[in-house]
Amino acid sequence: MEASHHPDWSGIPEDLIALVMRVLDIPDLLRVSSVCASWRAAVSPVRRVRIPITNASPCLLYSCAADEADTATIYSPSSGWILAADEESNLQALNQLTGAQVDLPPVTGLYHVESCFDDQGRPAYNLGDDPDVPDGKDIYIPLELRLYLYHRVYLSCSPSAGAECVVLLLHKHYGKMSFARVGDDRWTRISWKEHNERFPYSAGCRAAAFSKKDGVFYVLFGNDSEWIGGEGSNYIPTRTVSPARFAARCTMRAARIKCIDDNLRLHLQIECLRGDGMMVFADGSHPTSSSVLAPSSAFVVLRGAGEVGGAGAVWPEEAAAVL
Amino acid sequence: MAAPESGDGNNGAARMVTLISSDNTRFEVEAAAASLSQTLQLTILDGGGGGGDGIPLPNVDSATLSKVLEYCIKHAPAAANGGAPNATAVDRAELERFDNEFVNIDQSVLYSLIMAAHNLEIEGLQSLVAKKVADMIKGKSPMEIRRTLGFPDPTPEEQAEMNAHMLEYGWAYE
Repeated sequence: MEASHHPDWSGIPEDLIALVMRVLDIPDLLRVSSVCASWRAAVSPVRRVRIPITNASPCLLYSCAADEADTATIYSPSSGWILAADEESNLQALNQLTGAQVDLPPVTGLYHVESCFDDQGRPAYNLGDDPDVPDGKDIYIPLELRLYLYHRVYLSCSPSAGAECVVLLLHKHYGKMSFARVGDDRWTRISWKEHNERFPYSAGCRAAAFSKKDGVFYVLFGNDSEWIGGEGSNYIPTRTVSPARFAARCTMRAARIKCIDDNLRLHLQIECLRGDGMMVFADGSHPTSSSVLAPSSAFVVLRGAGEVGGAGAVWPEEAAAVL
Repeated sequence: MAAPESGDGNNGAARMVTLISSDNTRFEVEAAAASLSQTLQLTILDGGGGGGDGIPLPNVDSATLSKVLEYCIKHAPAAANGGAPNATAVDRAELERFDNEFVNIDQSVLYSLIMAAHNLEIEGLQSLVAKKVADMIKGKSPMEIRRTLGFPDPTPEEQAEMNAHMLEYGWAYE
């Protein structure tokens, strides 16, 4: 039997490639996602289905056919450090390999988050500064704020270095950033407007990375056409904003920010590898990074070596069930 | 060759329908088998496909259709029983053996088959081919997957994307 035309696997309908992807293990699924653009697009919904974010389960927990029936595997793209948000929505850095835990400034240390009570008198947080909420009230219970507030987190080095370690946090509302040194009480807001009105902060921050070579964080902005009204798709991202401009704001904390454009994406990804940055985000909408939201007690028994690029942890089924 | 009048229930001769491939080959098949296709089932329930009319399938060539119908004929009895409940272990093992053998074919044929299954909405066949494709790409690098499935050479952008991905997710490439 011969095919009537040359097969074009890159063009098969998304629900078909999703059928294929759903029976793959996570490592296979990740590799498949770089085969071609349309397959990459198909991975995102598949990952959302397979890696649900719930209040109960750590999202870095994958089961894999290669494992024994009563084990699961945990993957970390960094040297063991991951960022997690606890039940109070406070961030911690956790080392899966050593069990070390480093508390980051509390959620109320963010400029727009304050403690309050919800309409039933329960402890809650009010997330201010949302232009879409006219009365300034945007109430979340502690357990849920973490699901919406945190987009991604980047580290300049291992949190065990104490105040040497600068943590860059991309958070709600879209395009907002704060940073802190380990040991700080509060997050320091990074405010773009004071420096450059043309800065595309409203286009949103998609990702960042710390370059050890330059000692700066690189931040990648979305080229959302909303940025400059009227220019629409003709919008060309600002190529580079002088790091010095942002350094002026940040030098006392030594976190310098630099903007790069979309064309430098590859550059960014490679920089990302050189840094110790480990992403955390909670909305599951980005196919290329890991989601981590887990109570700190989640990181228990370990297996395998803590090589950069991968770490394995054995997770008894009953332990996973109670987390 | 003349198709009997539509059977009434399980007694008597089975109702037959005629399917016409894109290259104008006519296939006569039991309605129960063709009805594994959700698309065809609607037409058949409406009384279509009988007698000299036939149901044209402009997107499926005869080679592919013949293969699709081989699957449908084999799976029709189990489907009519509502799947598993009445099936014996022997029946199930036989179906599994058939399935494994059935997809042991060239990737270009698999491609035609899964596209036809999608087109005709034959759920079991879509899953079967999808599983086979998954087996073929397991443990392979993106480049090996492209070769296995006969992709053209990657563009520089695709190559760059693959390289970057491999750097970023080194652990998935061990």
